[in-house]
Amino acid sequence: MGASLTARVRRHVLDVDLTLDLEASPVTVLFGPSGSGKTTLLRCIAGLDEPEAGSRIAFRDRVWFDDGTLVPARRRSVGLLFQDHALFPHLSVLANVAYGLHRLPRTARRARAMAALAQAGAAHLLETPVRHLSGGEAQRVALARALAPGPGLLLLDEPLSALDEPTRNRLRSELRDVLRSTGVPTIVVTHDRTEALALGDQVAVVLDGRLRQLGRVDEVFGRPADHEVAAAVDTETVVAGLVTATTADLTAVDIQGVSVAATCREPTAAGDAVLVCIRAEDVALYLGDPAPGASHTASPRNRLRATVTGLVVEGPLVRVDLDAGFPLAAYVTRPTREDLGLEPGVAVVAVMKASAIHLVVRGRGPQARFDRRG
Amino acid sequence: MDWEAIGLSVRLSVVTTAILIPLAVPLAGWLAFSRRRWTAVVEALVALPLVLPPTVLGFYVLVALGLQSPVGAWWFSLTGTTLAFSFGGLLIASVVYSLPFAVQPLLAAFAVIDRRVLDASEVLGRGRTQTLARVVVPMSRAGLATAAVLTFAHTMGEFGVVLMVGGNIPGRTRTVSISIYDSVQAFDYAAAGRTSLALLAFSLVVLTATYVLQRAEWRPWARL
Repeated sequence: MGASLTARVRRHVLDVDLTLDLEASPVTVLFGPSGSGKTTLLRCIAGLDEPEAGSRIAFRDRVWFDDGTLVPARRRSVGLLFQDHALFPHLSVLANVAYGLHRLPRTARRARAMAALAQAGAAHLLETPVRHLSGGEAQRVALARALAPGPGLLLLDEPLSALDEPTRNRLRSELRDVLRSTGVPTIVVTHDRTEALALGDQVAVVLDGRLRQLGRVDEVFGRPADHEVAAAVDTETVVAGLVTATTADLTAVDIQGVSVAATCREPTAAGDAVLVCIRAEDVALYLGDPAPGASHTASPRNRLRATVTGLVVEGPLVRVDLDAGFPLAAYVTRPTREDLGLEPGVAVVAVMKASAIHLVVRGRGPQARFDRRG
Repeated sequence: MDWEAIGLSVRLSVVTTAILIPLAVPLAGWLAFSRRRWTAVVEALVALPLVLPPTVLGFYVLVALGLQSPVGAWWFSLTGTTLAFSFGGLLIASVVYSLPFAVQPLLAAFAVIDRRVLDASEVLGRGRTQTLARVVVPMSRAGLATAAVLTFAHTMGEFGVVLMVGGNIPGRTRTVSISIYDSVQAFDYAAAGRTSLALLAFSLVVLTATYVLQRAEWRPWARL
């Protein structure tokens, strides 16, 4: 039986029916704004909260919760990483990581704990008192503690949101690499778009206690099911790309044969696989090239020839779907649409600043591919 | 000075503390972390000796330990002695009387522990008892010390309950405070003054030592 999780969970406002194939998509992101119920869902899966009658939770071939069945948290062998790490302040770093290894022979515990610390990039913190760990260091130790017992399922609750921005950026790519190398099926709860895009193979959007969309990250973020999901994910264009060249200030990315210039907060190198995110508000449309010929007479660096493929009215705005060599979306006002005569088939030039193109690194080096299945 | 009475009081206080702390830790753990509703009733029962007049408490303990009660009769059939007016009876009364002084500081200490730390322990495969022993108690050392000191000091100074349950038998049930009361009744103000001063100095030293040792948290009444 393949690794799958089914969770039909009702508790207060939460009412979610979720089936996850964790074989094909090892990392699932539960994405939604604060208060949408995703942490409650995670706690029910961990066994820390009890869902209401009629709920059912099963992982692989084991039923964790059903009518008359309640497997306590301590018997589910899940690893849980808390937002604020929740380390044991009275124990050393090593004792923290070895805490869940009580079923192992005494002699094997130290070696296993050391291995987990190394895996989480925290081996150098062995001698540091827990109270003196920085936020990022504590989170590494907490990750080692969660990984040490060899959990069947890893649950991360807002793993990076308690950290400051530079630490978060550094730890995000590390966390992605650790999750890849362990291969443990993982569920990540986050309200952070970048985190979702960087870590997830698939994403489940939870709004007001309901599951609204489940699919691959680029699908959900690029083609939200409806306008509420679109508002929650807040990005209209998400496409896979490959970094072709970098300078100190700019990153050149190839998207299905089209080259764009972007800025990236994370250090990147040629060959890195990235997700390219462009908000529809940041795309301006021109009927002709605003700066023909010369490449540096206007400030936006990206001017892409595109064809209108569809128009969707969303309140006062019109969403213009474009084919620019890759699917691209732009927002214009209704009068603008009239003035420009935007209809399917019309040729336009889509203009974006490099700073409006947001890159999320998904894998390092020439071998990295966004989609490991294909 | 009545050294015999002081010795008895110290012995009673040490044994009471030694019995009460191991009882209070699981009780406080259950009160602090259980989700059942009737914990409030138990909490009220535990706090009752704080507001009840010591004579009332002593009266009920006396009745409960007397030969007419099942407990007293059972004890008599077992040992041939009565619990009332004995050190054993005094011990039972002291344990009941000092219960809130052991439980309240522990509750206050347990209440400030981050629940997610306990969740972490559970997810890592530890049950309630193990979490209490390995996480909750080690994180509450200051509260534990406060509970022990308050229990000890409170037992040292008890009067009404002791008088009701133990009477006034030298070497067996005559504690420091009863000795002082006796001296005053006998107009021996000098003896009463010496013993009182000793008790005052002792209490002050013990409490000061506790404050110094754990400036971190001193909130025995946080949950009252």
